[in-house]
This record gives sequence, structure tokens and C-alpha cells, in this order.
Amino acid sequence: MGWTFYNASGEALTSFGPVALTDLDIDGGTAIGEAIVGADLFIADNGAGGTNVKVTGTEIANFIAGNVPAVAKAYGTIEGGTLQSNSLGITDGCLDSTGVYTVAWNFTWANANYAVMMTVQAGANRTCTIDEPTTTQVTAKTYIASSGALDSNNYHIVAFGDPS
Amino acid sequence: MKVIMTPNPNSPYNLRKISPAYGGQEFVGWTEDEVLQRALARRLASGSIPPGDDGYHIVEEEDLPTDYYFFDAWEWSGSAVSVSMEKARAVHLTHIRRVRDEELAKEDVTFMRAVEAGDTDAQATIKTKKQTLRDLPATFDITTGVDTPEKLKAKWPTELPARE
Repeated sequence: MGWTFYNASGEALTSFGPVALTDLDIDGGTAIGEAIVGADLFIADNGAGGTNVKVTGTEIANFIAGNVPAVAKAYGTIEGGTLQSNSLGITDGCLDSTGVYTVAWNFTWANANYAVMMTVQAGANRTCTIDEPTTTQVTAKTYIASSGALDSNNYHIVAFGDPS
Repeated sequence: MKVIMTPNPNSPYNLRKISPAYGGQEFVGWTEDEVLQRALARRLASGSIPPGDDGYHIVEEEDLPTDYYFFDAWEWSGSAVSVSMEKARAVHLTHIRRVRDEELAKEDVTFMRAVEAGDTDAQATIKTKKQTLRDLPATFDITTGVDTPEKLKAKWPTELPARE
């Protein structure tokens, strides 16, 4: 069912001019009632130029991630040489050779001096190292603890730093 | 899920496996192909995937070999990923040498104890055993009747402890 709006004289309106922000009443609206997701839409005044555009939740999240310095930027889990779901800030995980991986970031760091932490599966008798961080990727290696030989293993990685 | 296989320009010159961030938090609402293309585009832009038709191959992960023991011997055979038996033998020998080295180190301890105890018979026995271990990579036959990765992996010297 559509709405009909009337002016102060009681005449039905067929077109509208700009609505002042102060004239919006959102108190009576329906609460979303669930977490905001990437596909949700928001309104933005593009460049404060008066043109309203739609913005996705994903675009807002990316904006925040790219403009808030020194926050947890990325994390992910590699199992069986495959990047698992629910990662953040990662474009892909690459198994280069046994025990050697590169993780490609889904953004560009301001510099290569960001912090990366990595852990390997508990009880697997493995160690791990981080190597050759760049603004776009990092190399991660897993080893057999007793021999120091490279050997693939499940691992988790998290990175902090400043965005570009 | 599709993965990207691309030649590794560095040793062991195998195929690298790139798994895009399916289910990544930035990619909610993206199709599988969009996430794949995102990873591909960034890898091509960074130069970690060489351009051209032979630069990469997109395959279903379920079509890959299920055992990563010979990952360093993976190669592209024209239409699918296969295991180079020549490289696989080198990989297998590396594993044998690693376990052999650990066994030699253990025998060093038992030999020193035999010396301390003045037990010349034990010293002679250990000396023979160590020589057998040293010769293993040259004496152990991993070629005759070994024409598949499965047969190769199953071939293991009885002088060494069973693998995990």
C-alpha cells in the first residue's frame, strides 16, 4: 500500500522537493533487529555535494578499516594449505612449497613495519616464523621443531599496523 | 571451491596453490568467481603470477591430489595437476635423510655410552649400524616397481622408525 502526503492546505502532494534533515522522524521506524551485514545499504551525501548515494555496509567497513590507524587489520587460518572462511583483510593464502606460505593482504600497508603474529596447531611439534613482510604480502613458514625441517602445518596469523 | 595453481619460480619449482579468501569478511555478498577474480587480479598486479596463458590454471580444489606429501613435486600436466615421479623421489629421499639424521644422532649417544662403559662389542655393533644408516640414501631402492606416488610413499626403509 502506498502513502499519500498532504500539504498544509490539505492538498495531496504528487512530487516532493528536498526534505530537511531536521524534518526526518526515524523514531517510529522498524529496528533492524540483527547485525548489520555487508549488503545493507546506507545513505551518504557524496562529497558533501548534495548528491545522495547508497553505500553498502562493506564499503563503510572498508572505510573504517582504512582510516583508523593501528588496529587489528587482518587475520586468518590456513588448514591443509587452504585459507579458511571468516578471514579479514586477506585476499588469498598461497602454499608456495612445503611449509612455505605467502599471505596476500587485501589492502596496502603504509609501510612494511607492521606487526605479524603467527601460531601453529597445538601439539603438532611445529615452530613457525614470519619472513619478508611487504606492504602487500608476508611469507610464513612452518617447521618440524625437532629437526628444523620445513613442513606444512595448520596455522593462524594476525597482523596489526597502520593502513596506507 | 576453485583455487589458482601457478608455477613456482623458486626452488623446488613446483606448482603454488593460491586459495582465495572465500567467506572472507570483506567479501560478504560476493560470488565465488568475484572473490577468485579479486585474488587473481591482485596477484597479477603484484607480479606473483606471471601473465599469459601458462601463468596460472584455475582448478577445483577437489581435483587436486589429496596427499600433500609430494606437494613439492606437483606439476601441470596439460589439463590437471599431477605428481612428477622424478621430483617425488627427491622429496622422498629428503624425508628419508631427515629421519636417518635423527637416528644417527641417537646412535652418537649410545656410542658414547659404549665408550664410557668400555664395551667394544657394542661399539662395533653401533659402528656398523651407523654405516648402514649413512649408506641408506644410496642403497635404498625407490625406483624398482615404484611407478606411482602412493607406492613411493609406502616404500620406507626398515632400518628407520615408522613414520607418523
